[in-house]
Amino acid sequence: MTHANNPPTLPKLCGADVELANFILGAPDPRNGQGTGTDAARLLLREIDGVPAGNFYASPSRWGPTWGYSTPSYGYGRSSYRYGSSSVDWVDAESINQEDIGRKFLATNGGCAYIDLSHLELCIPEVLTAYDHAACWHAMIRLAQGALADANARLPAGRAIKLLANNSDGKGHSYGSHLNFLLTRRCWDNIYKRRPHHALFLASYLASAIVFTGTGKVGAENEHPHTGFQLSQRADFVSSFVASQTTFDRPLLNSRDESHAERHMARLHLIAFDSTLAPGACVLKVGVTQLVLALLEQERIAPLFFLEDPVGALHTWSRDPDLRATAELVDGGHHTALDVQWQFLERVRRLVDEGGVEGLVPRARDIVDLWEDTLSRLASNPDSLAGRLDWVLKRRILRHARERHGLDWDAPGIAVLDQVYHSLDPDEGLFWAYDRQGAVEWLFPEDAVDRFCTEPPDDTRAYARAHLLRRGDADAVDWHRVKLEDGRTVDMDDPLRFTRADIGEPAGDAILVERVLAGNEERTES
Amino acid sequence: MTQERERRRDDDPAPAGSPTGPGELDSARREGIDLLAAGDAAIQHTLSGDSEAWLRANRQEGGQ
Repeated sequence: MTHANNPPTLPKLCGADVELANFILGAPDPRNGQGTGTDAARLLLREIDGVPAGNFYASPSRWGPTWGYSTPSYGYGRSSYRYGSSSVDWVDAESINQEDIGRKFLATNGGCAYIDLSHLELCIPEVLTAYDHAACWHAMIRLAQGALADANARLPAGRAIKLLANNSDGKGHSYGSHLNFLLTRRCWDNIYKRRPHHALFLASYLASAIVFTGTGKVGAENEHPHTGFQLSQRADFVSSFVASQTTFDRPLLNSRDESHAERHMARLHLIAFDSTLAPGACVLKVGVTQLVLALLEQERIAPLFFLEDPVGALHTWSRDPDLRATAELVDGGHHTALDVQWQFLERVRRLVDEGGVEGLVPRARDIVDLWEDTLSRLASNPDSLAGRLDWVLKRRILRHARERHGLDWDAPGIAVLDQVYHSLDPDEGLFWAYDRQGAVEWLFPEDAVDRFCTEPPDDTRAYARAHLLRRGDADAVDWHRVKLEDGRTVDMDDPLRFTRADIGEPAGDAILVERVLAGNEERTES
Repeated sequence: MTQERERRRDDDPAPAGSPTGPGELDSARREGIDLLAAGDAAIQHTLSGDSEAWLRANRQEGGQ
């Protein structure tokens, strides 16, 4: 039973789909100036073992007659397919959905990988905590690093695939790192259908959050005025308040309604964030967003800090790495991004103190403390956050390089350093170089990353998905269902169930399926 | 609001990790210098490459 004063809530489960930049240095451009991204993505995806999504993503009625591969066998538990040469045997039919090519799910951690347009895209399995998100993301990075090394080993001398976790190529092209959060249907409807001030509340948070979610960028794109260094890679490409599209005129609030879950559940698809590498930034980006969404879901909306123009504020604040620029609020006041963030923090802390996020956001107090410490240091000594926030570390690197080598912001060398910061090649990427020197603040033990390279999260349906895929008889896979070769379909519509606690250890293949199916039957009966 | 926040911060104990006294400031400065020196080789390696070729090759058509 729910009513206006007691809205329903759900744990703030989180997933992510991250597009990477990829190209082949030293190779001719076979596509008349469109770059080598498509070829690089194909070469990389081949090196990742997984179970094909199959006809859940390629049914004729949905995507056309084929999903792009002509591979004979390709999956976990079978003989993994490996291309033996650098030639690509690829079906390039116009009927293929170019935003979803070659999707394969990972039997290791329950995530997936595919090609979106010309980018290798990595999807992180569903997690409950911000710390698990950050560890899972770094596990997926390791997977990509392995694919990069393997793919490069097959290339002729003089050519090398480059793989970057960033959001802009400096030529006006952007690609996303989307976060997805579980919301009640009521909350989603409030934001997108019924209560515009709920949308404004969320947008005001998102715009001001670039003080810790930005990864830093040199210059301007997308017809924005020239600037030296800005906080966010993505800000120049956000140009509208709310919309459903993701490839042009991108919105701060994306209204794509694709829950992969039961009807009372919705998935909030946030597309304006940068691809953070620093674990601290990853934890803050997810953890603080979880907490703000808990406020929103409980309808504790305070209209005191609503931005008059959230998209304009995002652009203004992104161009102000000194964090002094103000943006106008609806009440006519002018405030900095830090001011607005403090307002959110105070309301979240109150909710946490009242016990309002128990069972919804794990480790809430740790996240609030980290958030408060970050805001305080951004105001007093931002350089001290070089180990926690990507934009701070990158700015320090670039400042140092400019002074030492006499380079202007417009110098090609600075533009390359900006991009190389994000390279996933551990021998090349500046993030990894500084990490090796102990400059990066890790908020969780390294074995958390190790674990998610081979195991799924215990506390979401990713647990059951990964173990079902290990049987080796999956005919088709989606986030919320697995179809077996014997014709049975195992539905997992509730992302919070099918956990280790629900189905236990996978004692045997048959037992595992029976447990999942039995869980569904019990639920139906109750 | 900014002034109010700054006043409040002046009264609060310093957050963890922030330098407070001259000794700590010197230490933070030294750490900063060490941090930057640590990355010199990586920066030099990047700048010694063909920047123009990298920038020409990195073209990311399409993206969500």
